[in-house]
Amino acid sequence: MEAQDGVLKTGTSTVGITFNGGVVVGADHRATMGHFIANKSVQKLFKIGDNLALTTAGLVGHAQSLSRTLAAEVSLYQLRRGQNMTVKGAATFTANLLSGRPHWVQLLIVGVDADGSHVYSIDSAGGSIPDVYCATGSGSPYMYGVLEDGFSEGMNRADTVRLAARALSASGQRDAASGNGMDLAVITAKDGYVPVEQSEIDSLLKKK
Amino acid sequence: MRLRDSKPSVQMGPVLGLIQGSPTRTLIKRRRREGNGEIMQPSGRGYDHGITTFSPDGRLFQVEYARESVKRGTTTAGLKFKEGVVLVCDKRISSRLIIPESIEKMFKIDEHIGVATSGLVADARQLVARARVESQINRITYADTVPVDVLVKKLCDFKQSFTQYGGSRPFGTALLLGGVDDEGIHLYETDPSGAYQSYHAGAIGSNRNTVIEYFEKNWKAGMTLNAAMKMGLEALRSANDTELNREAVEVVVIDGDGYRILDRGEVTKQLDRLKPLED
Repeated sequence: MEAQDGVLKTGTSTVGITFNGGVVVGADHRATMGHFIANKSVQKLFKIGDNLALTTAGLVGHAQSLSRTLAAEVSLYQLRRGQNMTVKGAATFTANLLSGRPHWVQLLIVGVDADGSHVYSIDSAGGSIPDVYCATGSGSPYMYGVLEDGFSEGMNRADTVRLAARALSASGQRDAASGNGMDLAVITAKDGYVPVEQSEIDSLLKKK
Repeated sequence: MRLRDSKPSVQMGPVLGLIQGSPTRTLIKRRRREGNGEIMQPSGRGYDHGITTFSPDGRLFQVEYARESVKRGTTTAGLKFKEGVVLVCDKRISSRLIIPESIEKMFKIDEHIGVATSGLVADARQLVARARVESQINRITYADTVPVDVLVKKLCDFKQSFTQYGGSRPFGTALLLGGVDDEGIHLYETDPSGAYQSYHAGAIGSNRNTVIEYFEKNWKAGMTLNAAMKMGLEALRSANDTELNREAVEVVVIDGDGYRILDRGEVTKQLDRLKPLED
């Protein structure tokens, strides 16, 4: 299935990687319409709670609408119950939304909860699969090359942020529908959702 | 004049119906259809006819009457122990012709939650049905068991709606709801107004105060399951002043292993451990 060229879609590269004590998540900035780069600073990484983030790939309209709904549901859940939604809970909730009304998207829901750090990939019909790391979008094959080589269990924060930046950088170079820089964030139980400074990303990519 | 159709205005629907059609909406619709209730009511008949009418001193008589029906109900008690909650009740079998197993006062809601009821049994069964559905909705929605306090609040929101919207009556039922979740061990009491409180040990039904007094004197934290069962049964007996009817006592345990109801043999064994009453 392919969206039409006249529709704004994020060709996209997004990535989520668990590490010892947290999870790193990131996404590129490019939106395309066919071969045209329609936007160079699209937000595809969304904070949806203190312990949760969402990355989106696919149709921009569907992705944005889902991110709004999800952020609202996550804060209502927190207010009503006095505790954060688990990552599995958020993934299942989103999967339920999608299985009722499919959206042309591929999502990552990542975060930390009492059970540890998690990455869930969610498809357009509501399939929800947990993993230790995952990449989505047209750039994912290039990112998986980097991830397969660089990932190991029990990495620290710094190495994981570098791995995520390298993966997104590779797909930005080789996938025509990805690029124009990236957003990165780290979620830990202690500090919650913390965006990675642009300057830190720049220096990480230079070192290589 | 008002009760033309005898169909109950609130029914347990299928799962989706429960989510979409709130009782309030149904009730409001029905009220509109019947015209303005206040004008049609005969005047000067007191403040206890409409559940939605406050008396001049701020009371809702129908809600208080509903509490009365709980006070006349069977004695039911619950207490926490180290690993969970014990619920006990006396089913008050009035004739030897009744088959004790056919009287239900304890209900499993989910793997980790059970309730004991007192008051109108039929009302209780409606609440139990709703609690079971709410528990499953939580599993479907979030792939997780419902936290005990969340379920209690949902049930009490539902009970409350029957004290604010006309055309229906409050539930004549109190629930003792015990459960174990990630946050710990819980025992809640809910009343017909929709109020709830959390207890270490609590009781509902007739002679509630006697049972509470017994717990106030004797309950302590960190008891074993056996000690808690014994204390629950002693408390229940203190409300009776006579030996308990062995066929009529029901005991439920909810702990890390889930919900289980003791079979007749186990209940008898527990009752045998009680010191016989004097004279």
